[in-house]
Amino acid sequence: MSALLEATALRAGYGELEIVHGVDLRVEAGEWVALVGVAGAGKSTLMNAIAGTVALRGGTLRFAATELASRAAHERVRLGIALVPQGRRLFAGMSVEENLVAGGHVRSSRDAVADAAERAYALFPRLRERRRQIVGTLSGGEQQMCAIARALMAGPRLLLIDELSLGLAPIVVDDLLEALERIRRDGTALLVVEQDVDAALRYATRAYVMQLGTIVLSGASTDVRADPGFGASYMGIAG
Amino acid sequence: MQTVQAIVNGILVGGFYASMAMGFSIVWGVMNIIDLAHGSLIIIGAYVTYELCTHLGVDPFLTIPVAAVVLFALGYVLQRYLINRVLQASIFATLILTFGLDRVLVNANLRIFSADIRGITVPYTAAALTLGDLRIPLIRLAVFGVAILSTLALWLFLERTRLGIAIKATSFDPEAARLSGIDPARIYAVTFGIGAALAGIAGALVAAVSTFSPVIGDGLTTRAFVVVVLGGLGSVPGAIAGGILLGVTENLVASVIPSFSDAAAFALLIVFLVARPRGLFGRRFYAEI
Amino acid sequence: MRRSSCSLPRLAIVCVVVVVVALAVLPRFTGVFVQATLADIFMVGTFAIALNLIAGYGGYPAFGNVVFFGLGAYATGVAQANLHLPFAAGCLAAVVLSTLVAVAVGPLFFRLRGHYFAIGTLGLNGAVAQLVTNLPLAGGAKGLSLPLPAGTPATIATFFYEVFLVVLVVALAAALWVDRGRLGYACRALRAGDDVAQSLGVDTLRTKVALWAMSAALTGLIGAVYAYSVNYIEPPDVFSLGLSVKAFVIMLLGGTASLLGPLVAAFFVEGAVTLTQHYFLNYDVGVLGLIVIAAVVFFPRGASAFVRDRFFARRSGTAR
Repeated sequence: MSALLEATALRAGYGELEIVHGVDLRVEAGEWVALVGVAGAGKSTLMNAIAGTVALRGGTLRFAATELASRAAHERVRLGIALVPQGRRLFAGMSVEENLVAGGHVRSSRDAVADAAERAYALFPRLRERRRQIVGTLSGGEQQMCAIARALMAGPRLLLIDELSLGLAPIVVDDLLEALERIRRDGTALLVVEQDVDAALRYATRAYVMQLGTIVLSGASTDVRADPGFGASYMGIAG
Repeated sequence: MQTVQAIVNGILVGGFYASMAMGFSIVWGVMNIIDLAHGSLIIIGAYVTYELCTHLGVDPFLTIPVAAVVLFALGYVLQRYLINRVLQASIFATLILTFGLDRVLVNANLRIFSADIRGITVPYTAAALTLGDLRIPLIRLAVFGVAILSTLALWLFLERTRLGIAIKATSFDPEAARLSGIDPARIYAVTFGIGAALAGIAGALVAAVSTFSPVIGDGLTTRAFVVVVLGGLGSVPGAIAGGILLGVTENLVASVIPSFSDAAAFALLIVFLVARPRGLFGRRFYAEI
Repeated sequence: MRRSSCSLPRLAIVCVVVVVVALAVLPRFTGVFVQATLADIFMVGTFAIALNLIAGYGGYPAFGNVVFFGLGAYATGVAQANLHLPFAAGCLAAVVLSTLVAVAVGPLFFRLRGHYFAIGTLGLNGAVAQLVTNLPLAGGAKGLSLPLPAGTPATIATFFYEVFLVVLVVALAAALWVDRGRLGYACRALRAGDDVAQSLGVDTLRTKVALWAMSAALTGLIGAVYAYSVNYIEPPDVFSLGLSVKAFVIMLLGGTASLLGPLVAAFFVEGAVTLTQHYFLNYDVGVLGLIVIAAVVFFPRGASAFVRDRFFARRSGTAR
């Protein structure tokens, strides 16, 4: 039985620079997997490589038994992968509702889009209140909610989130994590990049620790956290 | 009273200018391409209408959908297979490419249709509405009506349909659009096709009210970008406002100093570029590069 | 863009001098047609070099730079036809007028960037063309006739050949001076951004105005020579967007970082244009358009970048 997402010896980078040097990673259906590591470890590059906005240079990447290397980013969304990028990158001049509609581009009909939007509003009631508002005027937490909702509009089986809590207050992060757990229970697998260890490992069943472009630790969250090398590698201290 | 007539004429022609500018504006706003071939696309639309009218005897206004469809197809193909290649290149490159394309289209038009000036006469050319001393030719009113309607249709498309929202999203952030499953290449081709279709509609209107030939395209492109600068890039109501402003100014100047009405257009352009580059309703999709 | 050498090698200087001298004496051995064609190439090459000053070095895409060509043409036209001044005075008038216009509108236009600047200059060109068309002094739409130069067709052809060559050399010298001197340093600073340049003590506005003034002066000068060489000018001829675009294509192909690149490109482009006019009479406009399109599609970043990528990429260590 193969995993939902399977990366083997994955290499990726920008221009002449290789940033991800051979990563093995998998996510099972309905799982919550955390990806942690200090800034500059290559986590974003890895996420972008999975989503398709950064080209693969080596290794394999499979999603539900489909080889992804030849698939463009927008095709991967149709296959069932959605990324909430770092910095959210909402469509600035458009309203919450319009952002959701854009996110639902791959849906087959207006009704499907409307249903998906309803589910998003049920998850994030605050967005329903602000649906006509231009996203630029939302608070940080609301923007993150909108970004997650937008990604969900595509009905993904795997939701990738790059930097969940950056710049957000702890109580907002708590709400987001709860919402994500509900999303997971509804059947969507999660791969979440998170700087805050506590937030990262709270609901995640497994975790990967990344440093300088490779995976240095992996396993069940509790095991990873208890590992003696965890603090060192996470803090970026050598050895 | 002459002034009021000039203003009314200006408003009527302004609607037409708006329809010319709409296609130009959407391509510029979404793809950051200034299409110097836009005028030639309008002329092709005029020829489509002309041929249909002279061979089938239909009213020019009925040919509008045909012109729109034909030009949409042409625009889609041009963008997908030619213009798309230089989308990432410099400003020079896209300006030069569309200029070269314009030369090719002008030459093609000259060979296919000859340099003769064409026009269509309809039975109701002379009919006009009279309000006191004011004379409002019916055909110009119809042109104004079509222009406003097509502009409204575009606005509704961009605001209310899923494809329209996808186009707007792509113009804001193409990479984020990809992450939402939107294929920028297809969006750009559709957008350019829509721009061309709008040019086709404007061309049908040109054929209906005035005379045309393959070489007047440049002047139309010039007017289009003046209107866009005046009204603001990326704004549909802006195109109407800009068109009316240009039309009224030209007509007012013409009623006082006839030979300077063209210079008026350029003067307005320069004034706005210097004082208010984002125009009356400007809401730029692209930051200035 | 870094230059490949820090000082002009002796060999290059010798080569250039030899070529210039060879070109100068060429008329003894060739006929009117060759001289006229080469003169055309010199003219377009000068236009491209002048354009490169403001667009390449300055970073401002002056799509309507041909306005100075037209101004120069009409300045000399009015000076010679209406005021009965000699050609030299006409040239002076052309240079002065063009420079003044550039200096006057520069500060206003440099606030625009990218597309807006390009369109602004197009608007300027259109506006000036309109104004000239409405000026009875300049002949209006009916055009302006200049007095004929004295001499036989052969001597006249040689005269203009030599004059265009001289202007080209002046343009090259100016470009060299800009590239190597303080102005070149200022330009490179400008490319890093206005605020960076200012922090380095560069007066950004003066630099930009200086560049455009030089560009305008050179362009105005060739406009004047052109007018005298064709004897009859009309606004659409001399305020023609086609010439500007041709120059941009040349700049694109020749590369903005080299001095002689635009010249070589001018040779090829102008040669191609002459050939198409010769063989494709009814399609010359369209064929020119196709050439332009092909140039941009295959060399979007310039021919020199293309050559560099293809043949020199290995130097950087990664094969493509």
